[in-house]
Amino acid sequence: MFSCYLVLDSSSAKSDLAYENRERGFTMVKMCSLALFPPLSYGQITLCESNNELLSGTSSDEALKQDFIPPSLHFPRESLKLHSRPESSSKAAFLDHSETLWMRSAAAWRDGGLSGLLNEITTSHSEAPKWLSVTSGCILAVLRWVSSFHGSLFPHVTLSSEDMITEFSQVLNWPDCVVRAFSWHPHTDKFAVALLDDSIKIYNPKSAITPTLKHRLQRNVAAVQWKPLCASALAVACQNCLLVWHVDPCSLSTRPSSSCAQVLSHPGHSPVTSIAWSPSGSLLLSASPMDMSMMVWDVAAESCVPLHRVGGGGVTFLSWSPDGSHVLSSTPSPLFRVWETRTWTCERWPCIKGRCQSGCWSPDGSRLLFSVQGETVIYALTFTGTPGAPASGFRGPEAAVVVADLSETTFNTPDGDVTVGGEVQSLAWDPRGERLAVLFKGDPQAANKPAIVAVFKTRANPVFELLPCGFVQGEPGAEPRLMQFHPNFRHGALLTLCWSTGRITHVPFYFLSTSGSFVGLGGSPSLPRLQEKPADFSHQSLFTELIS
Amino acid sequence: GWAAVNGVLRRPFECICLSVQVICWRAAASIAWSVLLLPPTTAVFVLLSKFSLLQPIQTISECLSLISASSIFSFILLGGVIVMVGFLILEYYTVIPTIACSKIALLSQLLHPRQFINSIGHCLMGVIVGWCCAVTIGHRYKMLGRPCKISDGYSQMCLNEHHLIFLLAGAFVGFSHSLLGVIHNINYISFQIVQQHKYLRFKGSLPLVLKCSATQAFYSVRNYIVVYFFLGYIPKTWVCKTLNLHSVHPLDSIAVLLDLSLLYHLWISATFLLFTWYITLLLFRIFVTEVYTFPVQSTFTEDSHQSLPKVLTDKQPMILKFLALQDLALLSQHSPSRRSEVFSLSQPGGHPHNWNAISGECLSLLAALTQRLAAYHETVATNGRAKSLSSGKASSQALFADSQAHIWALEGLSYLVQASFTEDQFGVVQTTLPSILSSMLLLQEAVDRHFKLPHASSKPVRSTSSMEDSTYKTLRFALRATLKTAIYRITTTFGDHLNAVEMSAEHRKRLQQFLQYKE
Repeated sequence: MFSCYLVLDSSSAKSDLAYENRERGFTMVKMCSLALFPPLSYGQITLCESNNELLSGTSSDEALKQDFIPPSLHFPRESLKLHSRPESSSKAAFLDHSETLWMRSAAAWRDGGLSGLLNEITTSHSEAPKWLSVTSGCILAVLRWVSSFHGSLFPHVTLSSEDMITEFSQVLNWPDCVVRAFSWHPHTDKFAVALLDDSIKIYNPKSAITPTLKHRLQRNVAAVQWKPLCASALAVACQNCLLVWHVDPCSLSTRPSSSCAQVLSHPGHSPVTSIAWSPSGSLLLSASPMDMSMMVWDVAAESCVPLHRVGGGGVTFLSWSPDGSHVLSSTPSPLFRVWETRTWTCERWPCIKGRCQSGCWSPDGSRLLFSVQGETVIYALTFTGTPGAPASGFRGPEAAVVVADLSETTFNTPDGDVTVGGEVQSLAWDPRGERLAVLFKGDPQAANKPAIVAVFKTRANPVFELLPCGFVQGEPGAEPRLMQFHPNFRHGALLTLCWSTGRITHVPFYFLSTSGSFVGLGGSPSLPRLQEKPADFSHQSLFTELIS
Repeated sequence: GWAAVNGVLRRPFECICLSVQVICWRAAASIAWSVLLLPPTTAVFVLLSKFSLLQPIQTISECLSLISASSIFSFILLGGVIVMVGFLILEYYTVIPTIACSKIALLSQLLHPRQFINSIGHCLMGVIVGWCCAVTIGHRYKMLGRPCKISDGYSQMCLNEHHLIFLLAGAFVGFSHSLLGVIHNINYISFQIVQQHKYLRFKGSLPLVLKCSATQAFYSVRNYIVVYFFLGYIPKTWVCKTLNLHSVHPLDSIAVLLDLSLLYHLWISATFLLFTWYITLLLFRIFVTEVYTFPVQSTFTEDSHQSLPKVLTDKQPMILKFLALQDLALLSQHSPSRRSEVFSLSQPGGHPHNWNAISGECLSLLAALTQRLAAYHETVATNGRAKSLSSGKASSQALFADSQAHIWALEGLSYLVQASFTEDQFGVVQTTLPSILSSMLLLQEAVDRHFKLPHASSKPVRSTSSMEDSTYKTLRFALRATLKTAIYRITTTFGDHLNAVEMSAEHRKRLQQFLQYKE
C-alpha cells in the first residue's frame, strides 16, 4: 500500500494556526494534492458510487432508478415570481411629509433607532429649532465617526444585510441561487427547500402535498434546519429574525398560515446567517455577524440566553457536533471558538490567515474538520475523552493538524485544461463518517476554474484516514452551490446537491459501512441492496493519523 | 429494624441539615457578594450625584471630602440594609409561583399579613437608604432641621423639607417595590436552560438590572411626586408636631417640586436603591439555582439522606427537590459514569433500588400532572364555556406552575431510557419501560386536550424591561415540547423493538404515529 504523507518536525513546521491560552504543539503534514484523484471526465454527469468507483453518464436519466433515491427536482429561475421590494432608502419617497416633526421623529426612532432619529432631525432643519438640528447633526457625525472606527476594526459591519449573508453563507454565490437553503429532515425522507422568492417548500415522497411556507418576515433566508426528535418544527434563519414553523405532517393544507410560525427575535441580532439545533432537540442556536453574542433559544418559551464573548466582532457559522457535546462557532475575524455544551465554556482558536469558513464533525463528535478562508487545506481538531467524564478525563485538542492539501491541480480534458481545488466554500461529512464532500469556490472569472465538489473517503478506525474518491460533476454549465448528506440513508451515503440551474440532484454512494451498525439512531439498518466487494486497496491514502 | 426506625427519627433533622448545607450557604454567599459589591456601586452613585458639568474638578474634591465618620456610618447602614434584603429574599423566595387567577385573588395576596410584613420591611429599609442618600449628597438635603430666622428676629429650628422628601421617597420606592414584586411574582426563581458559570451569568444580566432599576426608579419618582404634591402635608405636619419644628416655604407648589436638580437627585437615589436590591436578588437567584451534584449512591450510610433518590422522593423543601431533578436531568444527558450508577444493582440483594426510586418518583410526578389536567378539564366541562373564558389564561398558567419539575422528570426519564439501550447491563429499565411509555402517552393525551381549550394556547406578552421572571408563563409550552421530544427520543432509539412492549391498543396506535413521525 502506497502512502504519501510526510511529517515535518513540529518545531520547524510553519503552520497557519497560532494558539493562545495554552501551549500547544502543532504538526504539519505534507500531503499529496487532488492530483491523486481519478481524473475528471469532462461533460459527464456523476451518477453514483458503486464498487468503489464513481459511475458517470451523459445524462442524469441513465441513473439507476432506485425507489429509495428521491427524484431530482428542478426549479427554473423563470418560474419564480420575483417581487421587487422597496428598499429602505426609497422609503422617504413614500413617507408623508405633512406629518409633524414629532410624528416623523417617533417613526424614525421606531424604525432606525437613535441614528434614525438624529438623521430625521438633522435633515428637517427647516422645521426643527436651529440648536436642535445642529446638535443632532454633531452627535450624528460623532456616531458615524465611531462607527467608521468600529468598521475599520471589523470591516464586515459596513456590509448590507444581503452582502453579509453572501459573505458568510455556506452556499456558494448565495444572492444568485435559486435554491438558497436546503435541509433534510433528520428522521424521515422529507426535505425543505428555501427558494429565491423567499418561499419554502416541503417535499415528502410519501405525500402528494407540497406545503409552501410564506411569511412577511421570511426574507433573505440564509439557512433552514429541521428540529431533531420532532416531526414538524422547521427553523428558518431570516434577515431580521428567526422563524420556527410548525408544519403538521398530517395536515392537507398547502399554504400553512403564518400563525403556524413562531417569530424569535432579539434586538441587534440580525441578519441571522446560521442556525443549529441541538441534536437532542431541546435548544436552538442562532448567529449573526452583527451580534457578538450567540443566542441559545428555548423555542417553546420563546426566550433566549445570549452567550456573549468579546472578540471576533460577531458569529457567522455554527455547527453542533452530532453527539451534542461541542459547538463550533466561527467569527468574521481570524478566530473561531469551540464551545463545550455542558457549562458553555469555550476555547478560542485564533488563525493567522483568515476566518474559519466551514466545518463539520465526525459522527461521534470526536473530530472536527474545518477550512480557513485564504488557505487551501483542511484542518482537523481531535477531541479525546468523553465530556461527561470528570473534568480531568476530558482533554481538548492540543493542535490543529492539516489533513488534506487542496491546492489547485490541473487536469487535461478533451475540452482543455481544467483547474480544480483552491479555497473551500463548505464541508459536509456523511452521518456514518465515511464520505467527506468538499465544495470548492472555484473562480467565477476564469472559465477553466469551475466550482466543483470533491469527495473523500474517510475512515475513523483504527486510525483516521483520508482517501480520494472522486469529483461529483453535474450537467455542463451547472455549478454546485449547496450540498448536504442525507441523515439516514441506509445503503451508504446520499449526497444532495443544489445547482446553479435550480436543479436538485441526489448522488448515492453505495458502500458497506466499515463501522458495522449505524452510529446514529433509528433501529437496526437493513442490508443495502447493492452489495459491494471489499475495499479496494489500490487506492492511495491521502492522510493517515500517526498514533504515538 | 432499627435502621428504619432510626431513619424515620432522623429524617426531619437531616432534611434541615441538607437544606442548611445547600441553600443557606448559597444564600449567605450571595448576600456576602452583594455586600462586597456595595462599595463600587456607592462610589458610582456618589460620583453621579455630585457630578457637575461646569466644575469637574470640584466634583472630585467633593467626592474625596466625603470620607468622614457620618458617611462611614451611613455606609455600614447600607450594608445592613443589603443583609436584611437578602434575608427577606431568602424568606420569601419560591420555585413555584403563586399565580393569582383573578383580581380579587391578587388583592388578597397583597393584603396577606405575610406580605404586609414584607412591605413594611421594605418600606423601613427604603427610609434608611433614603437617609443615607440624603446624607451622602449633602448640601441642602443633609439635616432634617435647619436654623432659620422667623420675622421677629431670633433664630429657630425649621423643618428641612428637602431632607424629608428623601426619607419619604425611600419609603415610597421601597413600598412600591414590594407591591410590584407581588404583582410581577418577583420572588419566583426560575432555572436556566443553559448552565453557565455564575460570573458569566452575572455579567450577562448586569445591563438588564441597570436598565430595570433606572426605568422603575423613573416611574416610582414620578408617582411619588404626584402623591407628595397631594398628600405630602400629612407627614410634614406630623413631623413638625412631633419634633417641634417650624415649617416655612412649603415645597408642595408645582414650581418647587419640579426643580430639576431635586428630581435628578431623587431619581439617582431611587435607581441606587433599586439597583443594590436587584443585585442582591440577582445574585441570590444565580447562587441558589446553580447545579448541585447529589451522589447517586451514597458510600456511607451517614450521608444516605443526601443521595439523589432520597432527595428526589422527599417533599420538602421544594428547592432541594428541584435541584435534585435538575441534577437528574443533567446527569442523564451528560454523564455516562453517573448513569451507570443509576442502572446498577444493590450489593447485596441485587435490586435496582436507585432506578426504582428515581423512575418511581418521576412517574408519580407525571401521573399527578395528568390527574390535575383531567380534573381541570372536568371542571371546565361541567361549568361550561362561560366560566372557562373568564379565567382561562391565568388558571392555565397556575395548572402548570410547577411544570419545571415535570420537564426535568421527562428529560431525565427519556435520556435514561435512551442510554439504557446501550448502557443498561442488567436490563433494569426494560421492566419499567411499559409504564414509562404509558404514563407519557397518557400525559400527552391530557396535554393535547388541554391545549384545545380556549386561551390555553395564547402566548403571553413578554416584558423585557423588568426584573420579572416570566418563565412560568410559558412553562406549559415548554412542557408540551419536552413531552413530545421525550416520546420521540424513546421511539427513535428503540424503533420497531417497541412492538414487543406490552401496551393497550390505543397506546400502540398512538405510538405508531410517533414511530412514523406523524405527531
